[in-house]
Amino acid sequence: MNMVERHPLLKATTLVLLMLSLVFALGPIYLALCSASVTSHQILLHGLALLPGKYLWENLSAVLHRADIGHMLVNSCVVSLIVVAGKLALASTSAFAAVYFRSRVRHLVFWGTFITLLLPLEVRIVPTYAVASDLFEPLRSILTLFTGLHLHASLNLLDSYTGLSLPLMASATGTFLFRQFYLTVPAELSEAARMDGAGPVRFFVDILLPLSKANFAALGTIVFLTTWKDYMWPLVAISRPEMRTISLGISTFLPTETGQPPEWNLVMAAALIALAPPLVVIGLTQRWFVRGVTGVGK
Amino acid sequence: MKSSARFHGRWTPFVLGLPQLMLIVLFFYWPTLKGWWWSWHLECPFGHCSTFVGFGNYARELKDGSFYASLLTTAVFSALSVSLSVLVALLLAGMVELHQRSGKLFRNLLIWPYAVAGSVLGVILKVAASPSIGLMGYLNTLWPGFWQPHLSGVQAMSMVVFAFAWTQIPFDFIVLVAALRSIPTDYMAAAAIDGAGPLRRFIDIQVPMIRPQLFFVAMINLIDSITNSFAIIDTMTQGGPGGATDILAYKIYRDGFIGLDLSGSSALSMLLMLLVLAVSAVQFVMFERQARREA
Repeated sequence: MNMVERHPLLKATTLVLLMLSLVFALGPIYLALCSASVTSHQILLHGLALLPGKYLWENLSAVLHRADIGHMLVNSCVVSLIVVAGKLALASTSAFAAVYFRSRVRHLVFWGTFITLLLPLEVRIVPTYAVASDLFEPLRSILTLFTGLHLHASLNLLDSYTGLSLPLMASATGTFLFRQFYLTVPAELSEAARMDGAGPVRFFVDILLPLSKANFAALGTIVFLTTWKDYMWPLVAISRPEMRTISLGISTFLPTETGQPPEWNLVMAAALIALAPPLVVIGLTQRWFVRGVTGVGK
Repeated sequence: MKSSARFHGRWTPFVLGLPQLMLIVLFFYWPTLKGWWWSWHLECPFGHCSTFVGFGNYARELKDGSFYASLLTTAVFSALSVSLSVLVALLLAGMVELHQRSGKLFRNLLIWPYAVAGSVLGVILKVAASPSIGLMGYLNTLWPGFWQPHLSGVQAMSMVVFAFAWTQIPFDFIVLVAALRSIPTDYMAAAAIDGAGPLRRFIDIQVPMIRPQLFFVAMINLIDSITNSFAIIDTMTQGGPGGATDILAYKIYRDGFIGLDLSGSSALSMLLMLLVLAVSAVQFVMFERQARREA
């Protein structure tokens, strides 16, 4: 707002408060950066470092040379990208089905998806684990119930990329974002397309998808970040160390009660590696990110 | 949408929606149903026997003192962390709006914490709060033995409340900044002409105008504090010391995966679901009322 007003005291006070809050907001990241750049010896002697030291690259490469953190980074990337791709494909098509058809099926698609907003994965974690450990169990139960036959097929998704990513895709947020967007697209577009003889698939691919680019970017950013940061599902779905994601594996860097003297500088270096990729994503896609946050509601 | 803008066909929408519906049935409806079933039966740990016990599991949990302790812990944790994050985010949004030139810089930097996963923050803060090498260590040189978050429940609770609020603030901040920007400038200009200063305008115009968004972020934070605070609790306190940070979601995990008590853990899940559903219902009713008022 451009108003001719002068409130020097208020301006100065709020500026100081904003700077103070910046210290709190970036403090943990700064602390990790400082302590990741000094020797383990210095931390044990003088406590955590408050100023950057000279050993950042040494510490980072020491952590990266431990094979497990390389695995973790790869796993996090793979799972996040699978979930982003899956979520974008499912959300755009299911929202299309829920908006652009006369058939009552659209209500089924909409309400069937809507209900999932009410109960987050964390609340139903134990039975979801059971389903992922034995994917055909629902099929077997239904078969036994209706035909009395016993099927002996089973499929265990635990400790796999599929098992890590599928349950994270089964939610409504993306569908909602796309539904809201489709409802703002002028109805004349689909009317004109229908008059010109285009079918729904043609309209979706040639007209709707090009219009949705911004939504893909916004949703993709948010889904990538939330998947990268997810902790609870990988914790229960993963038991093999080489399948851990970085957000899960980071806690393994904390020293155990017994053992050698703790290398706090390496713990902080690992934390720095874990938070760098999402930070880069936010930095590069600031506009999409903000748009996604206000649109998705998470 | 007008029906002339909609396509005919029964199978196309079905085929388009099917992958999503299948995934949701498999990983949402079926597990929810399974949890419901378990909560009424006594199950062997991941075995193949079960006996119907009716309210047995619920009665067992409701008679257990640790359930009420955990419920109280959840209430304290949620109330403190939600009020802290909403309040701080509101003040930050108000202050950023006040500064035209430097506001953009602050706005960009204050959302960085969104990049930090709960578990990563938990690890950093656990190290930072360590009495021996951490930042709070100097308190112990002033008052020996004062800062001991691994022994003091109050200190552990304040640690996880701070950590969780920290992870929530960027989201609240982004939503509230957008809300403040959507207030028509005429209102603010008119108030300014009438002699209202920035502080008065904030209290009497800006805050009342963005009440729906304030309510929205508070509800999202509340549901998140019940369900999504797991990573911070697990990395920082593991529910301790002495159950001081043992919120319901953490207790369900411990009972189910470590105690292997599927029935009790499922009964707890169902009670937690009721809680989350109640919060969602309140949210839904309030939004409906809001929408009707605007219409």
